[in-house]
Amino acid sequence: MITLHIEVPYASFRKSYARSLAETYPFPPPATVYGMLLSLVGERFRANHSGVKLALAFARQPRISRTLRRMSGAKYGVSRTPDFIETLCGIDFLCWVDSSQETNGRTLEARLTEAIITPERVNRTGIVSLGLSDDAVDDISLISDLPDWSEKLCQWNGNFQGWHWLNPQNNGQIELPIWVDHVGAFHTRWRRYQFEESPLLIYSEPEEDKFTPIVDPRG
Amino acid sequence: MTVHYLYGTVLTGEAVAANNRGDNIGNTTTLQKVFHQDDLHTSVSAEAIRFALRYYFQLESPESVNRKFENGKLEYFDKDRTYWNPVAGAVRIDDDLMGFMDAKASVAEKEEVVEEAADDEQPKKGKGRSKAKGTVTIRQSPLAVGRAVSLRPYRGELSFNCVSGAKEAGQLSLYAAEMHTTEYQYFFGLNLSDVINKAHIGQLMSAVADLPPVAGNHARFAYDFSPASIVLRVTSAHSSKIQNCFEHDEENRTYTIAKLLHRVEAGDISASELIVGGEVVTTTEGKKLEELGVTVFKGVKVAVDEARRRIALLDPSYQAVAPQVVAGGNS
Repeated sequence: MITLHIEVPYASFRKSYARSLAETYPFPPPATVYGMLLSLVGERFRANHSGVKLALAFARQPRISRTLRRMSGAKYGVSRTPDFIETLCGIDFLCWVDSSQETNGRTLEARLTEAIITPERVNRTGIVSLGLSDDAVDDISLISDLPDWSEKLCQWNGNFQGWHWLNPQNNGQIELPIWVDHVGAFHTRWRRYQFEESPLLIYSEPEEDKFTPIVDPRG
Repeated sequence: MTVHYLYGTVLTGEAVAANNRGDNIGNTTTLQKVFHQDDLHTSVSAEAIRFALRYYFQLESPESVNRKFENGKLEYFDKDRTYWNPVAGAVRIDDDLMGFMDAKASVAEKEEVVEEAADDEQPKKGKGRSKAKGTVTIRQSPLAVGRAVSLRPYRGELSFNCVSGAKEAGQLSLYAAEMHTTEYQYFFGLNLSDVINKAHIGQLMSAVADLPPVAGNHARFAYDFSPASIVLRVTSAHSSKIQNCFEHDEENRTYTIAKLLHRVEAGDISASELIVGGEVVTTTEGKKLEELGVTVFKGVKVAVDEARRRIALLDPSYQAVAPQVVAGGNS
């Protein structure tokens, strides 16, 4: 199991059923985080790391702002109506990656470690982004000693109080996609989550119930 | 082949921004706003900055772009991109750096298309090709541009106006405009390995250093979006760690790069990969960066030229990025 720290100042995760208003999910969906990790290691086939498990904990609940994205039809030859988009601001989280259930050759854990420690060995395209391709990931680091690192963070940032779990919970208030079918909706899979309001300093590896398995429903 | 990136954060000078981009609440024209470090900041979209970059390429050489903006209209050199030939290097700068997409609904998952393309490269014996070759519908942009965010939080500056001249019944217009006196910062990242014609990298860097007006859809206010300070990083690391690295220092009425310094001191960013130019190097923190081994310049242009030189040295294929020496100085 490895622990990653990921920071993205601005991103938008358009809700699957959003129409003209591009509402965002309040957290990066696990499907998107998984996609970003695949992009980081230069993997283009989602099924290749099916079985990996992810657990997420956030430094704070990201805030949502609504901005106007496009107004004129002249420039790009598209709709003349105002086009609003919601932007998620200040995404700062820890992601635990557990590859113990992966069966296809080299694990995502091993490839992520390589991509971060020896980036020159990895061949990939574009900039590492979370969601839309302009929403660049500012930081993605491997955290080897989380308690020590969190302690330093407390010293560095007086406002930091700990991490908030995004707990998988059947009656949770937040529904997020964990696998997305981009052609139709048949293979899209969802899971419900509950955001833990009270912050915690995390000293050990997450328990099993914090993890979301990312499994290819196409078999 | 090793992947190389150019990352940059630009900080503009201070000025009054009042671009409403067509959005309003009642008779108040508003500024776009986002949250930054739990405070409300004004913002200019990445699309507006991208448009200014495109426009720079067009102004420099109308023949180099596929998409031209003329008389308020978008005009293509070749909408279907029949000229597009990455193998021969026949690509236009806007398509090469910014990518393109034919926005039809997907009929197959992206990975299935990739798989099919991979199969096509090694056709099986006796199996006929079912698809026409050479049609290009999508190219991911090697360039990412972040939204511009105000350095200072928005505290509600407003101007109240009314129509001038003789007042006539029914013709009275009262309106208010939101304004913001601030610097803006924005981030860009470029995957150098993805750029087909490497000379385009140098042209992009010239565009960043000398950006045409960024005003969204209304060019109603003058705000210089060119860099007063710039932080550049040429690296193979997959995350920049320099995005929006300037922070407002409310107490001292200035800005701080404390987080950047911390990351260099902690070894998360190698000092040898950073190039910093402009006003920030004259600050105490700028001097600290220099002490830590960061290459600093008082000017933005020399900093950009240094980055171009470093890129040119990465690999022989990047030689065209080097700044060309012309009479009277570098270009």
